[in-house]
Amino acid sequence: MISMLMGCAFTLILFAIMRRVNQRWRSPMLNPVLLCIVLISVVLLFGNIDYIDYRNATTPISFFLEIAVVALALPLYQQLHAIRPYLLLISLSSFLGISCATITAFILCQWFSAPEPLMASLMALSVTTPITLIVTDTLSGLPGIAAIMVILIGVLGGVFGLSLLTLVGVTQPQAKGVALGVACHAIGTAAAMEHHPAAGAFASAAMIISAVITASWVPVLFTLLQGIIS
Amino acid sequence: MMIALRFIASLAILIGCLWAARLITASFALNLPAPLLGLLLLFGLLQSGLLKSEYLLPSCNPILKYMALFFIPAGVGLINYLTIFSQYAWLLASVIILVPALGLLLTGKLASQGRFHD
Repeated sequence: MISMLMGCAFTLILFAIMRRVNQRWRSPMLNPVLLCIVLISVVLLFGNIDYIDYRNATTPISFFLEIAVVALALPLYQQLHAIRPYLLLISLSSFLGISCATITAFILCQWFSAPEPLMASLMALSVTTPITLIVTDTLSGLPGIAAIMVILIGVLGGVFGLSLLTLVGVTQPQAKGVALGVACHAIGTAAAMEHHPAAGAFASAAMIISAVITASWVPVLFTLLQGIIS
Repeated sequence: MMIALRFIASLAILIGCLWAARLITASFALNLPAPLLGLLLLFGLLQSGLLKSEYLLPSCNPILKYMALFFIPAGVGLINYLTIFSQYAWLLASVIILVPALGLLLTGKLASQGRFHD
């Protein structure tokens, strides 16, 4: 058994150290969350600690997950005047981007004949992690897998996203921002912010709009896709 | 002292929105995640002018800044699925590459249709 104080303190201290490491060597590959998840997993495996114990010990941290989703209303409100003329365009791009992500994952799952819980974990990857966890839970998937996949997709998008967009001829920073915000959520948004302030504003707005669309649309789309298959 | 009070007050607003959303989703059996409805409720409060954004800053800034920390415990859950990970490594690898690549392509191309003026 590990105490709540120990579980939370260990996680917090490790996160603080990894943020430092990331600030020191600026590389999306050194994503603090990814490093923390890998290191804590290794500690639990080698220390023979049950995951359930760790999860129970860190409930205060997980409590803030849902609070953080609510808090996203603030940046959306702050950027509304800048993005208002493009709200429809962003929403449409986001809707199609999410649908494309879900359908792509679905087809790949059919191809590799993935079991139901695994498939359910890969349906909502084009969205910020707290929403992924909520949607995966609704579809009875495996939240641990979904969380890792979302973070890895974000890291990959943060590293290669801008180059890919330039390669296919997307030049305006605003359009790049929308693409990064929808496809690579928070980590992509961070990359967009470093690239150009307008890209950052559009990315965070697109990310939040995607969160709203994902939570309401992906479960419906998943049911539709399953209906087509059976 | 004052800073702590401001933080607690703004956190209370966030928690209030979340609880109100939980109450609504539960009583109307809505298929919408409560945190998301909470986001929309808070957004509505800000838009209507009932709530000034300054009240929210003390808690929202740190919460949004360190948001990544909150999903570490969920991510560590992967240790229960290590066999699935190794069994379906190819599927997961293709998902990790194809999903963001196609998403970026489609979304970027679509968003380029906008006439942006800086």
